Amino acid sequence: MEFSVQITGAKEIEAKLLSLERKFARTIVKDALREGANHLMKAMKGSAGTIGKGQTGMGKRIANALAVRVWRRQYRGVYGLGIRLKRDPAFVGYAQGSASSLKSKKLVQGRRYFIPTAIEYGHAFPGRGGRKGAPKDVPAKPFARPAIDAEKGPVERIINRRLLDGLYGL
Amino acid sequence: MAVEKALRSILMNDAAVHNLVADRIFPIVRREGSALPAITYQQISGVRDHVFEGPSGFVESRFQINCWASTYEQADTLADAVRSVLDGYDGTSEGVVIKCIHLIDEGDMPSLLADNEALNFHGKRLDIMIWFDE
Repeated sequence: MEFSVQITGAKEIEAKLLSLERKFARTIVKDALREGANHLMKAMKGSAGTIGKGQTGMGKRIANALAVRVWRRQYRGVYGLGIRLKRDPAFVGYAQGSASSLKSKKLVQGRRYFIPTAIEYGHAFPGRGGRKGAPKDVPAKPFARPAIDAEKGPVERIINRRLLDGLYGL
Repeated sequence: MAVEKALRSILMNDAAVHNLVADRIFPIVRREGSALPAITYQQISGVRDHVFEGPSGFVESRFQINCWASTYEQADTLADAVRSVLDGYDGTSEGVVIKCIHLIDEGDMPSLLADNEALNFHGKRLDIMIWFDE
């Protein structure tokens, strides 16, 4: 899931960044992006925390697992961050081809497992509620999309402000 | 909320969608015992615009529309029909002035069974953003 932010005065900012030593420019961009990502992550944790019940519920697990991670593949002049889920023994991937972790992971009988993607988007499941003839669609309990929609503006402002702070010491 | 009614009405009044699902368009989940194909919709977010005086009445709202069918092809056909009517839509429906609808994301619905044919149930998901006046 991606979204874009608009940087005010992008050309001037780019020119200023290019005029700086590479490591200083990189630090300014890194700090700005990280502050924006942290803000968004907090909002996601907030909406995830309301899903399910109790401290051991799926919402709490998702909230605890959310973390800002640097893109593994980096290119010269490009720096990226993502909000990802840390590993949790209760998380599995959803069934999709032979590499599915739902198939390959040894599931312990009686233990509860969660599929964060299926929680975000809803999913198909045989006989919701276990009754014969029950509908097979389970509604979404989104935690990422509402946070992105609500915080897109503030994240944009944070990144803009931090870039200007770093470049001009405003 | 009126925008849900408007959304349902737009889908119901489209001939291609109506031919596929008739009136099987449900909020949140399908009604028990209802036939396929069918559509479910739910609001994911709603961001209301404000000015100094208070709410401006302008709303940006994300909806998830799920197209369910017993085969993948049917679900795909239904998703195409829904996309055709909604993506780029503007107009008034059920008294709601819709400025614009954009399709912003789409994908297959996850299934909890590795062998989805055993489930005999397939879904396509469309995420739309609706900008409207309340």
